[in-house]
Amino acid sequence: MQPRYTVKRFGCRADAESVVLDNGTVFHSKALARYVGEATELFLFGATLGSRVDSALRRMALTSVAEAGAGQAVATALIETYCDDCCAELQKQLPEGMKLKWRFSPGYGDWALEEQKILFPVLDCAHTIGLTLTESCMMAPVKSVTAVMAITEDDEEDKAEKNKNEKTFLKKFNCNQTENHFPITNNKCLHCNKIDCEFRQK
Amino acid sequence: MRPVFVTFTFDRDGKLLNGADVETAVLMAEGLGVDAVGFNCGLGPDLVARLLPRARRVTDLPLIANPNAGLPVEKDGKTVFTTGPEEFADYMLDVYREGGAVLGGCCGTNPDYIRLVAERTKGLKPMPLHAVSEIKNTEGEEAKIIIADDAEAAANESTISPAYKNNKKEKYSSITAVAGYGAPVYFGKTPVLIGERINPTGKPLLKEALRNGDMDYVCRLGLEQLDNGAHILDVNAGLPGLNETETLCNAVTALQAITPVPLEIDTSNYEAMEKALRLYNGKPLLNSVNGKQESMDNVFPLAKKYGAAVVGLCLDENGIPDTAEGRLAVAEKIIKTAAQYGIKTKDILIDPLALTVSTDSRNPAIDLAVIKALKAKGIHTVMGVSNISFGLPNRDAVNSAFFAMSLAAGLSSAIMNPQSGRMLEAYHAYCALSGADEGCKEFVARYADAPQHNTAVKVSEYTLYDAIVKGLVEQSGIATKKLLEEQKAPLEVINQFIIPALNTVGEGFGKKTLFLPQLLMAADAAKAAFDEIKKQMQGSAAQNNTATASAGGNASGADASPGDTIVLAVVKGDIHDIGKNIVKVLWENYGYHVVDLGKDVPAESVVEAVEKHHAKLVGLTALMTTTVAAMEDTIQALRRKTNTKILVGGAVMTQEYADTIGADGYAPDAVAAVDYANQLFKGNVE
Repeated sequence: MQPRYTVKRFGCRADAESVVLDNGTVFHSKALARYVGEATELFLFGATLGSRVDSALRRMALTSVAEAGAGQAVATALIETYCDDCCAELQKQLPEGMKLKWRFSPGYGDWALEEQKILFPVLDCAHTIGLTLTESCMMAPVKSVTAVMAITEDDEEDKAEKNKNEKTFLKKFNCNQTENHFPITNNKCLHCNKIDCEFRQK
Repeated sequence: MRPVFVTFTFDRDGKLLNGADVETAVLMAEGLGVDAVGFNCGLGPDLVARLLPRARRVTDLPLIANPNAGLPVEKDGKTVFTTGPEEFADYMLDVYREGGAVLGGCCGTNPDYIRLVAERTKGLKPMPLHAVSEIKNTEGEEAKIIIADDAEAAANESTISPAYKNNKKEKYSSITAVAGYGAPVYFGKTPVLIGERINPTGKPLLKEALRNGDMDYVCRLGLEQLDNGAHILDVNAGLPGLNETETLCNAVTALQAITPVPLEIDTSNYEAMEKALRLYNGKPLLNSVNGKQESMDNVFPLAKKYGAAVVGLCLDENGIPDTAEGRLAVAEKIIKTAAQYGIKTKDILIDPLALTVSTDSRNPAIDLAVIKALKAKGIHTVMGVSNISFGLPNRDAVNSAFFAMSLAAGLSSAIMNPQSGRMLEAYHAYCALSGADEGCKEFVARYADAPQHNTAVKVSEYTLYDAIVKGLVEQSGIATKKLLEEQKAPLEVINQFIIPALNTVGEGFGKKTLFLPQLLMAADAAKAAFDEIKKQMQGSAAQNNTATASAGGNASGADASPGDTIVLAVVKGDIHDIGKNIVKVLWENYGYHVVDLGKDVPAESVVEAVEKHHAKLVGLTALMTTTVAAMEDTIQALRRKTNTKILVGGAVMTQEYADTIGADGYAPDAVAAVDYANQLFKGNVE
């Protein structure tokens, strides 16, 4: 396994339907814009476990479907954990009072997978971490993540704002959520509008 | 022609982004004919100096080093490099000492850095080819710096490899190696095992797999050999009536998707040879050329172009010489002609050709003499050992003895069957006795716990039904064997035990009393049972050639008739195939013949497969919303040309979606896919 990541920091501005970076890059998504909110800076992030994991998974699939299933699950957990570790590292680089928000990836909500084609050249993923994109916007190696992480101010006022957002959001999507459940920062599913999803966290 | 320089970015472990080692990357670049090779970016000069000897070990091309000014660090949101010009120039002297001949800088450097490096290295000649790392290995850290003119003298007084001593005019590194995209395999150290089993000659199951395009079977044959210790896999796809170019290319691609080890491309079809060499990732071994002018004129240009090492057979227009001298003369002709094409001697391995001892008792002695003579000249050898016993009983005994004799004579590599325990024993015993396996570590690790007599009979502790329901793979195989030994007919075993067990698991899954892991374990256990049945059917088919052969040819052979074929594919654009693989195994468990087209499959290929196999059912899956359109296209293409039923599934799919895009059915999970197929094929449901 050769886990690697690449990251770039940009100034940014979100309007109702898109997010514009200070290098002129534009991402089109209401959900992403809502996620970025008032943040003025963000990280673009890409990470991969490398191509050897792909071939190991293929090998498992040849001999045991149970092992292959478990292998898939382990690899998925590994890439997520690796991303969490990377984010923890990046958080350390931020000055006091600034907080890294959770990862928001192409394919979440209305952010089209097609926009990987915009993100990839900006991060130069092929050269920096060996991560490439197929014609249909699938990533190769498979066990990989690309994401945006907004950099936000983490003060009390902001928290109150989040709370308010959360309630509005829950109301909008008719979620039966009590106030004591996960705060919005921990439940990525709340930002997704596929409310019939089998895997939606409640 | 302008010279071509190639530089790579390695990580600090000396690996490319795809996992290939320094040695592999350099070998491949050298094989493709570059004029200088080396390092750029990614690392600072200290790390480059540490990795340079690894490049030097496999090539004597001039080495390039363009390091960064140290490793980048993030400071106040900006990337900065920490190594200043003075420090950089100091390190670059180390780089020079390790063999760097073309020096420069990458990220973080500027003209000040380069100016200083130029000043420090003024008047220095590039380190001599060859001498650097070898001398350093024997004399320790404080190696003498020897200027180029003294290289020959240095070679004489140090432990330079024998080939260099024998032919001092050879200006190239004498290490012979081939590679996939991982670590290279070297010849001349521990003898190399080349697995011979991916060759359809005399193997009915492989023949059938190749005819059906079943590359999973080919890959499993490869994995079994690697598990048993093969270093390289021979790949031969020559079968009458089959498009060899296409089949060989598919096999090479499939194998390279699952393993980074080197492959030996084995064909006498020049078109197939060229296409496979072009596809191959790494520095291949090519099997083979011979002393016939026609063969050399065709093979050498390809080997040169794609940087392959070539196996040269000791035969020519006059046949196989019946003396050692005659075969050595052919070997010499091959090596000389290769040189005319610019192929180095190190890239030729000679096959002395083992002919059976049963027709002429001088045959083994000829081979041994050829091996010894070539070994003395530093030329590597490869041999298909098992031909020696053709026509004799107890061939393994003869083969393993001859194998040990050949290794003692200096054979560098053998094309052999790694499933043969006795051949492997001979090999590991030889390595222990010859000192190649230092301290007999390998030997002890391999055989310490092996039973002395393989007589222990494994007893089944479970019934077959229980073994499958509980997902016990080994027990399932043992229980099946026992049932068959009790003269139960295969069909009885399937219908009375396997299918009911799978039904139980399937029902449990539906009721959510069992979950996906148990379902998958049960599927694996059922597969183990079918493997046992298949083995038995093959045995009886070989004995009396009865009708069981047709059922034995089926992947599982349950109560499905041979016409019950299902085509299965992940649609174009999508590469998520775990769900497809699960459905495939379950369908096979229920006896269907599944034609698995893999992932990212264009609509035309699905249509083609349905027409070719007259499939009554097609399964299509897609995980991503973005590929539902491709699924719709595939369905429309199928409707235009076939009247097959279409079943769809995948994470993104719903009954509503399935109806919208015009599918016949929707399977939310693998058990539902089985139910659909059972109803279609056995329930006469329209």
